[in-house]
Amino acid sequence: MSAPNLGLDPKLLLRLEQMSLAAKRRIRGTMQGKRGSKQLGASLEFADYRMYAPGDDIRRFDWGAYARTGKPFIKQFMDEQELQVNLYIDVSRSMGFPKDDAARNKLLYAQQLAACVGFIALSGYDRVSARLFSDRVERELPMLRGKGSAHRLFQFLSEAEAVSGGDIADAVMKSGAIPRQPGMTWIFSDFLYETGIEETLSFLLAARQEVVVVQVLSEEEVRPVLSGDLRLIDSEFGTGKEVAVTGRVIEAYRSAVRQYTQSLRRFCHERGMIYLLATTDVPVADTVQRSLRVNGLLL
Amino acid sequence: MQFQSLVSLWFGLTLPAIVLMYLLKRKYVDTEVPSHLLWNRVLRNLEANRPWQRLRNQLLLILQLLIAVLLVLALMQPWVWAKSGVKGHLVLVLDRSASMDALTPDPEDSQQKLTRLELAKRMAADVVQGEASGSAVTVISMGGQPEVLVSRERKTDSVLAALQSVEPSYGRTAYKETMSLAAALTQDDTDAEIRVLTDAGWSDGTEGLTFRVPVRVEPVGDAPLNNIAIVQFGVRNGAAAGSVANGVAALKNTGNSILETDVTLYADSAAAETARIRLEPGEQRTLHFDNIRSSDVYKLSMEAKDDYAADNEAFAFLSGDQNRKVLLLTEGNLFLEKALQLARAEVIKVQAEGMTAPPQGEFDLVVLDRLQSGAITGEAWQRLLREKPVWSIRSGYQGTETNPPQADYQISEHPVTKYIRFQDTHIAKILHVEPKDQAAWGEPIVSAGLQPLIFAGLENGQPRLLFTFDLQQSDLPLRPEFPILVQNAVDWLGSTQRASLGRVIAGEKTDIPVSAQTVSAQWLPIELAGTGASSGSVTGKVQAAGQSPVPAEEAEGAVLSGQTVPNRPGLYQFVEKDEDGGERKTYLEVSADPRESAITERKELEFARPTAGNLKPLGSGDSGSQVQLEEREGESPYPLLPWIIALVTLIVVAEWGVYHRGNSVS
Repeated sequence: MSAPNLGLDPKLLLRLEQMSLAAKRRIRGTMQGKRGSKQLGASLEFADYRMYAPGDDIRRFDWGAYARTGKPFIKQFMDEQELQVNLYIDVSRSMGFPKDDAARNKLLYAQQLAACVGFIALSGYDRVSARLFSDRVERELPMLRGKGSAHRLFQFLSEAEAVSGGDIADAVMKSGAIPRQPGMTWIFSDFLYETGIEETLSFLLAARQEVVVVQVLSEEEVRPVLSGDLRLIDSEFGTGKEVAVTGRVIEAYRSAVRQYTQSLRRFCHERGMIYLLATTDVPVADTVQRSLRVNGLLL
Repeated sequence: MQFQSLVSLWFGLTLPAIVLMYLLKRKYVDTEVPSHLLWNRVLRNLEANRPWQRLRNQLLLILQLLIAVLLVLALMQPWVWAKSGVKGHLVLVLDRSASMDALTPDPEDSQQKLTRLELAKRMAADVVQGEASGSAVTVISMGGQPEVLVSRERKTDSVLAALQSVEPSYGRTAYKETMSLAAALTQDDTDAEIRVLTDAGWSDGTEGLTFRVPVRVEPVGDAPLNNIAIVQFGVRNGAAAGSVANGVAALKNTGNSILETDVTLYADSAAAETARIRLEPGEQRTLHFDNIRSSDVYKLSMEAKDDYAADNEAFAFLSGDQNRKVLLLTEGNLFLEKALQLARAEVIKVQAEGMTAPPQGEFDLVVLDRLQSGAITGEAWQRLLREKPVWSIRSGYQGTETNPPQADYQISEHPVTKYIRFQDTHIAKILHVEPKDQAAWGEPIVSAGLQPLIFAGLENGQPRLLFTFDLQQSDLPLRPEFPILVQNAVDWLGSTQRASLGRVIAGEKTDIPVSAQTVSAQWLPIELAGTGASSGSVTGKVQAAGQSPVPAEEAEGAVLSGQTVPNRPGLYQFVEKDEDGGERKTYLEVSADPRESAITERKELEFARPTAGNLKPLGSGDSGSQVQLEEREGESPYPLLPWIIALVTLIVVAEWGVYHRGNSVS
């Protein structure tokens, strides 16, 4: 199994193959899968008896019970359905940082994380779709099923490029961009948006999604190394801001970062969303194996 | 604020230059960041006060501009008129001239009056105790001559004691000399200042003096004053007999208000005549007193008390007996004898040869005509010649006969040469005199070329007149000038025999014919003028209580003929005592300097500063742009340069801090 252009370690993928995503609640999909569903279905797991009604599948008729009681019972089993996993990857310009250091590029990091999650999902017979968004959904990968589709997923992800502009609300809160079926939605973004983050997440919740918020920040953003008189240019809007950077300013910036991530985390927790902060200096494998596991996302 | 060098304003062009450089230099490094989101939060926190924050960003530029502005300001050498504080060395010049004796209202109690000098002393004491308490103080009193009372004294008590000891000086005041001394004392002293406490009634200015330190004039007593001065007062014998005299007096109102007063003439102690007089400011009037009885001393006294007392009284004396007794020792000289008689002299002619002693009787003067040296010997003769004025005509010395040089006669100013021209006078022979030893007592008053013809002078207080030529070997006696010359000579020689010494300005030196027998002498104050002087009779009593007689000046046990008269104006008697206890008394009026009577007159005092002073910038050739620093009343130019430099230093330190902080990101 190769992972073109994403630099993922095949060994990691092997390990990921053993894992599966943990959805918190029973889901209700359309296709048969490995996930327990709220509906009764055709899995091996016994659920209940009920009286036979004409038209029922006679394969489920419980002859033994009929023999003992003389009453026609139908055995009901838990249905197992597949989980729809939606991956949203932010490709706005701000994700393209740091530009000069590919190893710690946020977009690449997000791609790798998304690939891992997607691979786990595919390995677990779940359906995976992926969307790249900036201020709109740039590209969309239709539902994939099965491990064999992992290659397509990787291909799709690896073709992602940072584009200008960025508005998560505009991009996600559109009918076509929202998953139709309940499922699990992963959003990989730096969440550096002035507005619309909370609305978007609430919107996704309302669409019966189990939302996992993965905030990807580079080390330069968390602990910037800047000094002197700088004109800070916003990568998305191109506006400049002149700052005489001093130790005090840096200190204030760090605390602002802390505050921002805290507030986002609080928002997520209050609404039962899972929040993850991933900084690009931590290897992807570590993030996947530790952070996801710690947050109860992997089985 | 004023500027010495406005030209330096051109340096202000550096300001836009700095801004330009800043625009070039202060380039922000473009740094792309993912988003402004977080930075906005940071800056919003930092920029709680946004205008100030913007200023803060430009702080470096503002500080640099400030420094540049201050430097330009420093180049312009600003200064302000500041109340000049006392420098390290304060030279107090205290005017104690007679006009400082005038009364002026007490500024603390307008009902009271005190003299200007007392006020000045109080002002000086205030300065010494107050602002100058930390300074070295030199006190110079400005009297007849400058007098340094204390020099660089730091003890306040000593300075105050010196100030208290200052008494008014009624004589001529050495204004210029005093200021010259003050200038000399502060010549090399940069941290010094001169304060002059004066009423500015100066009779001479300070032309030619330059002061390297600030001179501040503290005016004393400028309130309106009333004063009538007795400008002149004289008496003379009446035309008829000697028993009646005529007096004339001139009075002038030197104050600035109309004054009316009684003027009383006293003959000895009794009031002889009173006149009422009303004078407008500046008006002068002459009073005549006719047919007053003859007396030794006349006094003119003003009844009204005005603000300046020293000129309220004047004394006058009749000139002595006009008929002088002349002892003429001659072989015979008809011209001289007749001329002497024309001069109303009573001539007693004797032939000296064979006479061992002078003839009996009192003589006013002795004339020696062509007397061989050694012709008269003996103690009695020598004593007579010592004690009496002597007119020697080719007598009493040895020399060689020479022809006078063919040169113009040089005649110096002297009472004897009054109206004398010696025109066309021919002198055949002269007996040469060595001026250094044979006539050391006098000066040649008439000479032909280098040859002196007539000497005049004083010896032991007695006038001496010496003609080096024989009258009979000259055509002088034939000239119309001759009787005049003889009259002048007799008047001058006999002048010292008067009962009075006349009028002398206080503190001046005067020649007094001191008798050879005199062993001691003293000045006996009869009546004193000036503040606190009592008026009344002028009999021989000492009127002013506590005024003790002043001993006369002596040298090597002998009373000097040249005496300095007492400082206090008034009537004095010069009392000579001889060995036998006999006394000889001579009246003398000591008057204040008449120029000081103009007590309302104020002179604009100017004290020149050196033209190339150290306040000027060095190396500045453009004199047109320089503003000459003038001393202003009570204020002196206070250069702001040190303050600006201090400020610039502070700002440079602040800028360093700002700059350092802007780069101190780890």
